[in-house]
Amino acid sequence: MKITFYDAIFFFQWGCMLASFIFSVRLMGNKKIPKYMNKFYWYSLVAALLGLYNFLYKHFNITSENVYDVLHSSLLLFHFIFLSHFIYQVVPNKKISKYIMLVFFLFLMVILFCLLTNDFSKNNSNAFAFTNLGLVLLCCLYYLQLFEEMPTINLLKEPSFWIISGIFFSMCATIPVSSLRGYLFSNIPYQLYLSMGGIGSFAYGVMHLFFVKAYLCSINQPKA
Amino acid sequence: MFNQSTQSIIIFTVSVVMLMMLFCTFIVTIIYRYQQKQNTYFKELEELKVTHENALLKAQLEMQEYTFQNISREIHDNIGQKLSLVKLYLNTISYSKTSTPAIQVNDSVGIISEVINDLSDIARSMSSEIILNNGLVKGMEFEVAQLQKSGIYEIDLTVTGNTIFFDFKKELIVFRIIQESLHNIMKHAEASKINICLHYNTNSLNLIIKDNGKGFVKEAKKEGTGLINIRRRTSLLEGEFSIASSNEGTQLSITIPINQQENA
Repeated sequence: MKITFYDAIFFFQWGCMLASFIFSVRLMGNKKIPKYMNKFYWYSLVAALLGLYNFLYKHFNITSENVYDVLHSSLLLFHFIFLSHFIYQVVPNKKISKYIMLVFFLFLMVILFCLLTNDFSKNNSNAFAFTNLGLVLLCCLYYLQLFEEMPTINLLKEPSFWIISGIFFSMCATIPVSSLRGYLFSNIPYQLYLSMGGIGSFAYGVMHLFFVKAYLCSINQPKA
Repeated sequence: MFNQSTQSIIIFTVSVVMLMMLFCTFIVTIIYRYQQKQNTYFKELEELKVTHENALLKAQLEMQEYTFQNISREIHDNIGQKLSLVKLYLNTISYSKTSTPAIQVNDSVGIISEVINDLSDIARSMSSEIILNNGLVKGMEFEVAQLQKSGIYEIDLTVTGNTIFFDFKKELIVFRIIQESLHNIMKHAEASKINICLHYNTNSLNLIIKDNGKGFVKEAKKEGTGLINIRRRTSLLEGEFSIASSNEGTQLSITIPINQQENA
């Protein structure tokens, strides 16, 4: 099996997911971690399983394309709801929490609309783009509340800051690619299209590295 | 110059590097701005703390001054008078008559004993030792007992809730507030009954001092030094102060927050 440059990026992404999952396991049952980190390992677990599935699908074709797409659409919803809920949990400011709820429900409607009006079993670039855009807006609201609240936390040791920064980076980097995926596929050379897709994978890997940083910060954090 | 695959890798690498640089700049900016805000916040907090400490110190000095004035008044009006009387007795002793000196000396000894007791009471009343050693409630009980000795006032002290021993400095300020209020009643109210109620809640202390004196019209009378002192000391403790007065008496209510963690 010849390993291409794009495979290497994929391995990087999967390695980061795996690392994030391993570190998240270390937090399980740890009572000293902040409350909002209690269930976060589920995201790393699902991501690591999805990475494994993607690898098996790509190299051994374990399921049909239809199953692959349905799974990806469902997990897109999981990804959006889980991360939005996380951001909602870490924002103490009531006014900004209301905006978060508003943005969340608005984007959830749009994403569901995109998924349901098109075939749920088809890979939907619009739904991806709106998911990313929604999460970017939620991250911006988090950054906004950092400056609205009393600045008493140490950002460098704050797990929520690293997680949200990871999400922000990953979502910002993938918005152009996910929104123009259809156009890029039919208008640019395939190699270039792959490298564009690789940016998304790379950013997703980096997001998991940020999660690792957050898990490391969590270990000695006082309980929220 | 390059084949398509190499070109794609170069584009990928350049895009990733640019993205990372942009993102790093963003993160560094957020952290830098946040820390700037944090520094300003801590600086302001420090300044507030210093201002509060200064106000506390000023209040303590005022209390000290008040204590000295009380000692001076007591020495002048009470102890001085009694000692003058003793001096008069001893000066008028006639040694030719054997029965008179014995009576005069006995009277003098009685007066000197009273003076010693008075001095001891003054010392205890003015000192903060009683608060430091026994707490606010015991201090209050002593103060009430002292006042009852005069026979002018019928005083009722009620303590409810679970007594919490908080910071000594704060307890002393509360004690001085009560002393100031009682002093005001003695000076202006012409009252015969005084009710003092201390109620401890989980997060606050409620203090009510009520008398059946002549009261005063709030609008007509400008607030005196005593009331100003009480108000200022209450605000020092971040408490709330209110006063209600009619011709049937005056009621002073004070609520002082208690930070249990701070006192633990």
